[in-house]
Amino acid sequence: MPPLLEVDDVYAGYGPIEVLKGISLTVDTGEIVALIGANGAGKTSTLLSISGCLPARRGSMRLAGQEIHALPAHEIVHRGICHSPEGRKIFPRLTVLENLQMGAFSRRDKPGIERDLAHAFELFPILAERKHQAGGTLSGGEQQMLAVARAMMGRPKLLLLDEPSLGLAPMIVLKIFEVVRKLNDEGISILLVEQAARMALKLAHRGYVMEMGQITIAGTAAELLTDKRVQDAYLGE
Amino acid sequence: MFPVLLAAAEAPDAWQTFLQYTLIGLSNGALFALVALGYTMVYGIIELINFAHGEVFMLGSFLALALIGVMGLEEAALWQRWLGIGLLFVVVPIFCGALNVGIDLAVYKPLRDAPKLAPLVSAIGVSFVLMNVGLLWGGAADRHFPDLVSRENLLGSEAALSFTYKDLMIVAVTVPIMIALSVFVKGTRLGKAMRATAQDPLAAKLMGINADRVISVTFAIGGALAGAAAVIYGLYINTVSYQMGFTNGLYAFTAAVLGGIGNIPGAVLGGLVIGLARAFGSGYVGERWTSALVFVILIAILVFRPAGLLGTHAREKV
Amino acid sequence: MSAPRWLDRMPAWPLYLAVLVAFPLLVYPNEVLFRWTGISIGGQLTYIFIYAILALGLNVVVGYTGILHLGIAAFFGIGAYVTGILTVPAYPFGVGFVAALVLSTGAAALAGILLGAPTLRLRGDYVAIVTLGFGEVTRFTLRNLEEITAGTRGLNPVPPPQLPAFLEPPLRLLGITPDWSLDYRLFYFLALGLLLVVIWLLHNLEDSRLGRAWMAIREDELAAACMGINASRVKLSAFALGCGLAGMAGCLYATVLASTAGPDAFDFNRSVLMLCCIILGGLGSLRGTLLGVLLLIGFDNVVAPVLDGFIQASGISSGDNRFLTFSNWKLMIFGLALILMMRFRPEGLLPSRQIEAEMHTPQPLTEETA
Repeated sequence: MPPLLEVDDVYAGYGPIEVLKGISLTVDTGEIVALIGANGAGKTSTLLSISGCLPARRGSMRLAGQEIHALPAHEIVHRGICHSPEGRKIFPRLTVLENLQMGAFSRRDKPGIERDLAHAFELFPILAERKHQAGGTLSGGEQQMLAVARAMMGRPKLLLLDEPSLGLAPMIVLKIFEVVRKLNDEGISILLVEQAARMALKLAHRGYVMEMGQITIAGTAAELLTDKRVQDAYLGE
Repeated sequence: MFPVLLAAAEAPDAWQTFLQYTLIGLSNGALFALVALGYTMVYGIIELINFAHGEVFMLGSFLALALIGVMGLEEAALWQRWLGIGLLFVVVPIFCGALNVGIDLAVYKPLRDAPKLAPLVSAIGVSFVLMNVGLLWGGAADRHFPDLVSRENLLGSEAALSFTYKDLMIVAVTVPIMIALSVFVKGTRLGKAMRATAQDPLAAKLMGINADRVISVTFAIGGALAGAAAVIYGLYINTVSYQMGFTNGLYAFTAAVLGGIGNIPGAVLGGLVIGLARAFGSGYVGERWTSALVFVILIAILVFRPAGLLGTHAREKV
Repeated sequence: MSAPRWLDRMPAWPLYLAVLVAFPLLVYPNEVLFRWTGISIGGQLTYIFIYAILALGLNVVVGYTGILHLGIAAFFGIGAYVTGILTVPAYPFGVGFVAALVLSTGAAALAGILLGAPTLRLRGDYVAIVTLGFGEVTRFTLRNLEEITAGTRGLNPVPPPQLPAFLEPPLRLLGITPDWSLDYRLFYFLALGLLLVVIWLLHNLEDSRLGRAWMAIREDELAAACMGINASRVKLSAFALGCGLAGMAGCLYATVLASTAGPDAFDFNRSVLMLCCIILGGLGSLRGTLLGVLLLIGFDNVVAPVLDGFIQASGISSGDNRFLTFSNWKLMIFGLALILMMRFRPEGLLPSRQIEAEMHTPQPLTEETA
């Protein structure tokens, strides 16, 4: 059986600037894979490229064996990849409920959506309280919860999470990581981009290290946590 | 509404004049609001001042004029007339909506990632092309638009205050359209997708929203509203010309800015304010100064309250 | 055999200048062209020089600094009307041409500062609308203040400049009659001379500190501000200079025409036509702007009327078929030119290198580009 996501030698960039220089990675069904690296290494661009917002110039991407790299962004969502982007990017003037409904935009099964909505409120009770508040009025942590919940509403096979811990208090980060693990237990595969490398690797099954637009180290999470190079550069020991 | 108006007709002269101007202002304002909605919706989605919008409105009125000729509405019986007018309100908006979508696909869409100057200048180009089409279609002179709706005063021919069938037509067309629009934008899946795309295009894409489709729908709705406004304008003002798109487009754009560009209720409010300003301007200051007055308002609003009357925060992209 | 190397390196402009100077002095070419077309090409070139000054002013604002100015015609009009008020016999001032030129330029620049100071901090497309709105307000005001501006008739006659006595003998030597109304060549050389001064000035400005600050703001206002450029003052200086040059062109226009023309000579179409010129030629490029003016104003003032005359004369059209009147297609042609240029060659025909690079850089999706 092919891996759930297979990224094969992808190049992408903005204008004359090449940001991804031959990225290859895989995510298997049921896995959490962490993508770590310094600022500007190209992690966010990798996720944008997978979700079709930054077209690959070369290389290929397959979801469960099917080519997806030439598809428009909305089509990729329909195929089962949901993306919680860097900086959360919730809709500031839509209510929390409407934000979540937008997350389910690609779906038509009303009862399923209702069930997932209830589930999202169960995972993040604070969102239920804020249901009719405009997204822009939420605190940073609540917005991040909303962003994760919104991506979850698409009932993805693969969830792309970009820096869910950015700028949040440790307590809230723990809470969010706990939900990420729950979602994984429910069968959603996850590709997680994180600056907080140690936490990410503790959560993940496998990991990749990115530098200057390329994957430089790959291995299981346990291997990476004990790798000297990773420790020196990213784990601060 | 009528009892109020009838009571007002009993008021002293100065008040009557004031009320009359208010009525004129509100009905004209509703017209500007319809056109302003097209500017504001398109701007909300792709941050483009669609200069060609006024010309789409102008061509709509030309089409209406041509259709009236084809259907022979001027000589038709009353019920046929109303049927024909109803048909105008279907055909012209469809035409204008399709034209607007076509312009976007042909001209603006290839420039989506270009520097902002490019689509803006292209929009001026499209506006010139359409104005030229209008010139070739209708000639350089003002054209008479048949006076199909009665000018009879609904308050009675003796009343000091005038509220005619024409005024009623504006209310009867614009109010339902605006209610329908707000239901669409607030309540439907596509309407929400539209708001989401306006607020954060990248996030909307990541939700699986087909941005191209949302943009097309926006242009279609904006164009259709301009089409409806074009029919009303013809029937109400009774004169059309290939240059009407430019001036009226500017008024409507002013209305959109006034209400906070990108803000749908704002465009309606802005339209009404501009309508009132023009009515009071011509009533109390002088007809020839009204246009200058509107543009002075425009500049003042942009300088002192760039987010508009209803806009709480302008989305500034650096 | 190839040309010697010094010829390769020689700039082309002295050649163009020589042609422009020689053309009216030789008399014959202009007369032949007049016989063919019924248009005095030399007389039209005078207007082209004037519009070139106007376009160069606009280019300072739009091309160098990246501010979309949609009301340049208003400043052109302000220049013309200030000149009118200062010189026509109906007013008591009766100042000379030089004083009128200086004051018109100053008045237009001042108007630019008054408009720009509060508005240039606004976002780009709002500034475009403000300038457009100001253009319309100016036009309506010129039309409505009949006591001052004579409404739609315009102010006239604007007297020609006083010719210094010492110039008369050399002019006669060149075969030029020293009477402004009899010989178009006096205005021709006056306009050409002023145009050259403006070109020289702008050419030097391009390489100055100020010029580089303008272009830095066009490229990235935020970054420019971070480098210590006072963005609002620098933008205002470009705006004032551009509007001032427009006023200077307006003064010249009124003087050559001997009238301020009516307010409608300074409408939105005029502004957009000038914008078309610099976009066609190449935003931010001196050579491009001049080429754009030559092509578009030449087309508008010379080619279109000639073709109309030709169509009439050939009997294809009886004259009242609007589809067969070439001038009725002008807006279409200008509009298509704008659309096609933006789509396929946004940097213009003779681009400045910098603009070319800017126009072909797609905008990044997010803040993270590396």
